[in-house]
Amino acid sequence: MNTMKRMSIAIALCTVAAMPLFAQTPGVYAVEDLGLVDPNALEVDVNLEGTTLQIAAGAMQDQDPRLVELVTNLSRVRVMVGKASDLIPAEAKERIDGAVAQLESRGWSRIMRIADGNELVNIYSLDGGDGNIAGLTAFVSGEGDEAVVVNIAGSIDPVLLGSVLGRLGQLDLDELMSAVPNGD
Amino acid sequence: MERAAFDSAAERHARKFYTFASYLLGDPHEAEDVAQEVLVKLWTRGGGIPTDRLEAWLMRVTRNACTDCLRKRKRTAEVISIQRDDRPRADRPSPEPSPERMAAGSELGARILGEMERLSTAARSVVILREIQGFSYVEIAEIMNMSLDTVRVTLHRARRRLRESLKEVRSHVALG
Amino acid sequence: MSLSDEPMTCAEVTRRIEAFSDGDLEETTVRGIRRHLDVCPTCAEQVELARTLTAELRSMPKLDPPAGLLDDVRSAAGIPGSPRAVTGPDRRSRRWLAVAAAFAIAIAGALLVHQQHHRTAEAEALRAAAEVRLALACFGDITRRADRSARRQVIDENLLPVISRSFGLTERNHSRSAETGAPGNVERSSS
Repeated sequence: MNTMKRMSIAIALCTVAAMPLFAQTPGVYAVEDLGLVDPNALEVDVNLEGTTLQIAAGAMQDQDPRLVELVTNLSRVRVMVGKASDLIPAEAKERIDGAVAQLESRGWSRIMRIADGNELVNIYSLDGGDGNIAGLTAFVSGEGDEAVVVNIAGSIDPVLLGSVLGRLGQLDLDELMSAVPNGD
Repeated sequence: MERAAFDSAAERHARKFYTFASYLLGDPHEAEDVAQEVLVKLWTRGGGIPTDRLEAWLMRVTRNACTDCLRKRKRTAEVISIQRDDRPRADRPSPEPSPERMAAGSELGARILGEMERLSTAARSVVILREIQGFSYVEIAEIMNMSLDTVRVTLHRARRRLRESLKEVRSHVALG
Repeated sequence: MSLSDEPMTCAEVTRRIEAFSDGDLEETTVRGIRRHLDVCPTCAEQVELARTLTAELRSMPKLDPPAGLLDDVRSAAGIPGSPRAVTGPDRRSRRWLAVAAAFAIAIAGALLVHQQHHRTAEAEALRAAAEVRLALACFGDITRRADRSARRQVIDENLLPVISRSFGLTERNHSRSAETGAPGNVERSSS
């Protein structure tokens, strides 16, 4: 197999692997209970469920219909971004290993686990059994750095999600967040 | 969806899907949450549904919302309480299910609803749709996304189980 | 389906109990069942139970949604022409409400097509929409970062050595590999 083909296969694998896998049951996972993000130093704290998500979808109706379609089929969106909790590395690792064990015991599949420097990224998905994804859980942890926990549940069309994330990726998160004043 | 069409569809169908959610969940507050969710979905997505398919679509959305609700809920043995409560939401106490607060004040009815809690969600749904709400087998098949045969078999088995429970209840009453 | 005047078995009757109670059977079958019930107290009891069950279930009330539900939904969803309504208790943190409100305003010009409204219910809806976009963008950011890291590591681990060899170069100790630790710290599941 020549180098170019190997490279393109490797890149294709990366791209496919970055897409959520198909899986099976209800996708809610209480990522907020992991204690990975310092609750006193949150930059993003989103906690939306049920009707509120439907109302959000209603308010987006004149925008990207794919985004509306995606959100309409979500039952929960929980995202926390902020300073990592002040944990010793061993404790952080224990919590993460515990979470991983819990997820895997409940049928979640690992999409990706990356260690890059001192940052650890775990992304898990739960198959909805109908071609859609019932849940996505991600946690990013790093000593003293930013930590992120995400749980998205619902009936998630992976192709739709990929398309929506691609478009949202054109926004500069840092720019948007810096436009927001801190505190009350 | 157009405002007028939304109003008309909501007025026409709300009772059906609220009744379904109430019996399926056995909790008036959760049923109200589900009904809200269904109405919002009607507004955001109902415009694309042909009028003659709307009822089945709404019932299917209700069923899915109830399934999500049931999954979230930690199930403990409950006696179903179905009582209309028109007080404003904030004033309502959380429902304390009790045998006394039963539909139509019938103790036998109360026991039957209690036994229905032991059925699977799918079986309970079919019983509610057929026996309480009077949907046809074809309509139930569409709402539940089941074949006609599966609907018949599910209903038959559920009714047989309920009959057995009813027989036991009666013999306890006779002995007690 | 009709049956002859052959006596029916319990199994045959039990299978048809619901249809019998519902009056959905042909007259000959109904007669056959009735003859069986005359001589079989077990089946007779089952039929009686079935009828009682049906009667009770059919007498259960159809329920009306609470008064004001429709108005609440209309207001909350920002349906035009709805009366203003007081929104229910907000479970989100106060801090995020302030941030999200500011965020919604901040991105309104760049992303939202809506005009800014002053009605509480519509502002809530816009805020929720803004939060969802932000949350999805955060998740997207994670997957992209992880993907880039994975791509970099896979290339470093699998391809650069190959390329190096094919050009007759010695394997370099790539700075990225050193940062990321030992090879094999990328675990990826294939579908």
